[in-house]
Amino acid sequence: MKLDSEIKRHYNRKRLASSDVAELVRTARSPMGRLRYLAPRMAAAALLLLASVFLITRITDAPVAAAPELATSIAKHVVFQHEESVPLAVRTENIQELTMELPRLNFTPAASMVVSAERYRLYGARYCHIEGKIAVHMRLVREDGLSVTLYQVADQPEFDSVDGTEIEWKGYRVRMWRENGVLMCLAERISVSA
Amino acid sequence: MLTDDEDLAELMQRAYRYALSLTHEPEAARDLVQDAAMSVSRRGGPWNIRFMTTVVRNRFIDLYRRARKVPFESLDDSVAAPLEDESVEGPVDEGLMDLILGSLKPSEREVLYLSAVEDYTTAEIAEMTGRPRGTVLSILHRTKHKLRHRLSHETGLRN
Repeated sequence: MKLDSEIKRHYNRKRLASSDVAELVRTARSPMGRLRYLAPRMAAAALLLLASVFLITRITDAPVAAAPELATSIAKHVVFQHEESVPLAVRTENIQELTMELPRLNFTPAASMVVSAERYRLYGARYCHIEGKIAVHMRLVREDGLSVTLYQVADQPEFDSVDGTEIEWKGYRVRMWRENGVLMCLAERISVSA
Repeated sequence: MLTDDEDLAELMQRAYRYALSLTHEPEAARDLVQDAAMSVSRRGGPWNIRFMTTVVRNRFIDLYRRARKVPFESLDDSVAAPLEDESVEGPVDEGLMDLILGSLKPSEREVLYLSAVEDYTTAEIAEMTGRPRGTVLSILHRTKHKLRHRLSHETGLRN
């Protein structure tokens, strides 16, 4: 017997139950599938909004005490650069163009599942650095018109302590996470209407 | 544009089998496909196996990174070698095959699956997995050698 045939035979026997498949097809077909996905996130967003309203009354210049040092340093840098409004080197709404327009980058700028195209539109980008590593500073426009900064830098083992952190500083919330081989840092102003 | 329900159902089954090659755990594989289906649904498609494979793979990597595991090791391209004769003394016992596949690394099962089940070429697998073609060949060669060796060893023990 050919090994490939045995492997194929083995995997082709593996099948989802028909009830699971029907559920998946419903997810694909129905807007309810999207709602089912979005509902818990909408609830989380509502909670976040309440927390933001609470926190905005007590924002100070001090970062969250428990945040790791590297995450705090990166968050402060991103907020500083966001406020600087440095001119952009590239004006585009297409993230794929950044690879060609910013050839010195040692990674491919990636779309994020967190920063959805439905809510955020790319406005432009420029070179920048995070902790001495070349990075891209993207300016996005949120659906409510607010300007938002998204930093991306090639992933490094040292970012272990940064992955999944969220830091508030100077009225901004900076979320940092790993996705598609890059570390993403999203800085958004905390506002009651956010 | 969505295809008909039968096509979608088959697509989900293929995505599931691919996810199973990564996780080797039916529950985890089903969850991966569920996440991927929701993600593609949110984007409005496209509903094809290449895209589903990419979404399932990205999700798997994200989950492993959060769990601080390293599923995909790098390999030296220079160890690539021509594939040997692939015959085994068969038919192979289903439970034994499952046991041995479970002992492989996710990266090994993935390449094996994409090659043997989905019939992708090494160049296509290289493109899909973001690895050099030589590395894909190395993984494939090493994995088949390992699989054949373990199959013959275990079959010998059982006989």
